[in-house]
Amino acid sequence: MRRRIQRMAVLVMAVGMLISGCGKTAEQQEENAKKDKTSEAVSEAVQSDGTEIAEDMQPGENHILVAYFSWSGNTKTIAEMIAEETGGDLFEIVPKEPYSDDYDTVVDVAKEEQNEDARPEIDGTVDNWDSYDTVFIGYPNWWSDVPMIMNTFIESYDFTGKTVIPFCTNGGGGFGNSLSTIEEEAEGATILDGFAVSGSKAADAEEDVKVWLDTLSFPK
Amino acid sequence: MKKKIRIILDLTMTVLLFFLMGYQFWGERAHEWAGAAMFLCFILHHMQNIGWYRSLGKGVYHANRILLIIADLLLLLAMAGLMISGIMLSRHVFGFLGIRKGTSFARVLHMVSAYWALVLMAFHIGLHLAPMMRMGKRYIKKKSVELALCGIGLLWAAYGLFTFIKRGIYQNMFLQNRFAFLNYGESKLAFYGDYLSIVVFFAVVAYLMNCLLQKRSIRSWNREKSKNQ
Repeated sequence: MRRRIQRMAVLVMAVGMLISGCGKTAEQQEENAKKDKTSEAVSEAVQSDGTEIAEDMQPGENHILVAYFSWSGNTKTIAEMIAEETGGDLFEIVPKEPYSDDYDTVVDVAKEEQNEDARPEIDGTVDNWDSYDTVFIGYPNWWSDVPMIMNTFIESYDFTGKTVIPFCTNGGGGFGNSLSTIEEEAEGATILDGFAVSGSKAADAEEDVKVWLDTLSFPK
Repeated sequence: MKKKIRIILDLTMTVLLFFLMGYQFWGERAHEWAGAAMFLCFILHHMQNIGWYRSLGKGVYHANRILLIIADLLLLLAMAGLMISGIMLSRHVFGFLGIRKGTSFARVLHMVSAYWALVLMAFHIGLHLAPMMRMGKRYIKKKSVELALCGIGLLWAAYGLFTFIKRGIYQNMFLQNRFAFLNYGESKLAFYGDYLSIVVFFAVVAYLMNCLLQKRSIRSWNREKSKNQ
């Protein structure tokens, strides 16, 4: 009898372990992602000069650029939401040599570019760069960092005095290490709190994008 | 002396395990070197315990021994998965190998085997905890203190189960996520507190399972003996 009880106990524990793997939903992830965002939001928000720049603003002129690189379309979706909300101009960072449509291939290529510290060439340039005060920079998280083409982009322009606002789509790693890369690359820029969203939720992120934009004060 | 080295190595591996689980906190370079160090410790650990493999074919297979063998072989598998994928993904330590293909697969393999290794390593610790517990018992004379410590251990384990579920670790283990959720902004204390609790949970489960099965094995062995006499 005792032996049977013991056998049961072991069985119950084993089953318990298995069951413990079946009770959580995507909501939890979302909640975590929000937490991630708020904690990221504690990064540097230097906005004291924001009002000053706003005074220089010419009425009727647009001072906002939304520059983004998108492979799957998720980042593009967010970029368009931001452009619509802020009235900014869109600029898509298009590689001269297009990336493969195959996910696994792109993953390999992205890794190799990162290993080689590559600077993939960009097709096209931003017109009237000097007229923009605020630059939103959007990209997917590739290997816990910006895709290397973002380095090419940032290095191609003078960011001194600009306000930079990053946004990023990802699988669960948030910004990864990309914020420090942007900080290093965009020398002389003021970097505001960014927005990171899971790629699968990009299409439904409109409300979150609005809420985030409302918390920022940047030259318009 | 040999015993001391053994304990130091075991502790080093435990510390490395926690360091490696917090990939998002320490940067890629440190992660790779810690991984390489774990690889080395893993080999040393095997050299020390090579007798375990030698004895595999010998003796009687009691239930607790079977449990131990299954758990340890699974751990071996997870570790192999981690080392192979880790080398494939490495850019700082093994970058000179120039592995260019299959990084997408390697990433997923690394993620899945990392969380399995966490659970199995905790289980492994738990299964080998009995001698340490006996040693501890020698120092604790009062029954009330012993009971209190047991209570704390069980409560801690319960919290570990809670946070294991809350953090959705099983989702990474069973590939319900293509990407693990890494919170770069989280406090290290909260992260490591939770991961330590998860290790405590699986170690306690393994320890209790081992105790129960061991008692059973001893009893059946005694019964056999008395029957033969």
